[in-house]
Amino acid sequence: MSHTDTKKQYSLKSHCIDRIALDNALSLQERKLSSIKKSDEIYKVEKFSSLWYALYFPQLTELNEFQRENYLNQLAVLLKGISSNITIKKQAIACEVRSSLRYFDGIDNIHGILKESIESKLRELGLPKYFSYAACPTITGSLLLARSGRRLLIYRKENLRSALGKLSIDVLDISKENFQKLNNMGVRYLNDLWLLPSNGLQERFGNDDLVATINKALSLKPEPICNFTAPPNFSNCYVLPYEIEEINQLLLVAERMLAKSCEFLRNRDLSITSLQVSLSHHRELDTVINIGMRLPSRSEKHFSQLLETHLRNLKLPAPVVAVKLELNDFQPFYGNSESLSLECVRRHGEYNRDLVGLMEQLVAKLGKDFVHKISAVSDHCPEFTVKQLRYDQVKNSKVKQEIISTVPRPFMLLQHPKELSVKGGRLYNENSITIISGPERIETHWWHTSHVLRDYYVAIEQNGSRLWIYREREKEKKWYLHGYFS
Amino acid sequence: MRENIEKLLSGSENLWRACDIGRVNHSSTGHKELDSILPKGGWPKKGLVEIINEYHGIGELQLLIPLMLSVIKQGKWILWVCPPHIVYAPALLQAGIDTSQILVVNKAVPCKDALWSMERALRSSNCGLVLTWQTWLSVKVLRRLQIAAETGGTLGFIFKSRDNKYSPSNMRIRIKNITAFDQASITVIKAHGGSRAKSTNVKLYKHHLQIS
Repeated sequence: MSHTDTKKQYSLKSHCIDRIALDNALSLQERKLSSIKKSDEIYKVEKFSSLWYALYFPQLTELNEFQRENYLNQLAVLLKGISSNITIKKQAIACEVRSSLRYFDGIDNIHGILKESIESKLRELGLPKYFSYAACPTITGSLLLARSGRRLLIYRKENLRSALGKLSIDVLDISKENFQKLNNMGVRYLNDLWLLPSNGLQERFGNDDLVATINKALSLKPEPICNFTAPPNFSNCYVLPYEIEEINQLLLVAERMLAKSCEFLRNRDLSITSLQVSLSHHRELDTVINIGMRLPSRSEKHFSQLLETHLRNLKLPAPVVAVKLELNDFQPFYGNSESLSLECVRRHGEYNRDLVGLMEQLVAKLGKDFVHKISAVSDHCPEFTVKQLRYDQVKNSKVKQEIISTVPRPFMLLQHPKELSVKGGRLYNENSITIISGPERIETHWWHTSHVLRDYYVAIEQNGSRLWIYREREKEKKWYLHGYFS
Repeated sequence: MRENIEKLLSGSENLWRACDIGRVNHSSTGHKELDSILPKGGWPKKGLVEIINEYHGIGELQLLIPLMLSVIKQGKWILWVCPPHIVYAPALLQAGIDTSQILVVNKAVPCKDALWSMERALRSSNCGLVLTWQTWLSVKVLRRLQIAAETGGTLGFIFKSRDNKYSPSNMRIRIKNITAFDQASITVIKAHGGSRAKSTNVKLYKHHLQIS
């Protein structure tokens, strides 16, 4: 949002503000380490107030929320070395650095350490490597400063008001409408907001928490934080004392490792949905087995069953020298409580864990493409009304029975219709065919190259098979067998 | 003579017959005519049943519709192993069978894997019904599947085109068509607890009448 004309209009005012430069609010780069050390009183006076260092990542704007959260989590881990109080805000991370100032010998060093690691992480994530930063005694204040792009460092609470006042209202995280409203009111800088009565502001901009934001930024209101905790991580490698070729022996080793991992999960009340086992060989590429689960689990038995199925399917290129186990996709563990009434238990039996285990084993053994669920789709053309879903795909819409044709349909449908022969005016499959009922005319898919123009009949073959046959209504008018009323 | 004895036996309520043991453990097939010739008045609760149909489309699946409905109602799953053609979902819906609890193993998988998955499913208590289409299975394999079914308390159906009189399965049923479209002749060749082969005519495709 650029408001160049309004800025021109108010250039006089901003000039005035710029002139009243603050001693303590200098750019981080300009400020020298010695200048902080010089005044020991600052430490004494401000001993108990915190100093929040905020990092703002404008490049995250275009990403979706899930991705943004994921990236911010990865970036926040890097800050763990600096401070134990880290909080993630929208597109930004803030950490408390007052307590670390003495250890790192000043904020410049802290910044130097962070800059290097964050830039390399951003490069790794494939994002542009710039970010803006600022530090001040409040989280909201430092975020506003960081969003403005001014690299300011403010030590004292008293200076907050004048430093923040110079910021344009662009830095506020408010809706477009409210922004326009503020603009129309002649508010261009936060300074102008200080002059307005807070009751009126609350009434007009209550939905955006404008007053709360200002009060938090000025340290007039407490700022509760949600402290960032690094995600759990489990990876275990075991170098075998001798090479193993036998699957059974390998399983024994793997089971020991799985037991350890399950203990880890139990202690932290977690469960996982995927795990990776890599087997190292001599002079060969590692064999990597990825095991995914439909529902989060932490059952040792379940894991080892799945792993066994995978291993038995596998052909090892060479003897195994080391086994590595890695757990991924951690999720909080939820025990399932069962209903008291038997009826309910039966109804929800669908989600029974044993069943899910069985399905997963089938998928692991046979492969994803060979096990499927079926679902009906509303379509006039018979071959398009059945849909084969992969096991992990969830059926999204339930086709009501009345949408499906009212004419009987066969249980078994031929993938490719079989051509029937006509001899002496009679239809033949292997034996002669007699038509019982029909025709049912189906005309659809004219928008496709495979135009469907058919007359369907129910017929009976001499040997007793009930058939679903059709005759094409164009070209050679051939007869086809399309299904069996099994 | 025989019919008279049969009549006498079924007529008296005070008579207890050894083949009636565990009648409660059997579930009705949903076809009255078929129930009457099965030794315990219905399908066994667990074990293997072979259905011999020489050709496709005789009505072999129609026979199982009531059973499938009850299995689905119990919240259990139905596994179809290697059906010869596409399992046509609209037809199942027409019969009132919800497709969300049906899992199909493609016929392209090797026979060994198909049998493996069948054994697993039979052993698990959550699969209510396992259907498979196999042309020939050795007695050893059948025995193994039967033990799996007994352990898991599951019922497995095998559709075959030829009969094998040495098969160890609990029940062998031959289904044949007679000229009428909606009828089939059914012979119970062998059934645990039954004495001799019996046959009857069963009316099928009942739901077709309701639809059209």
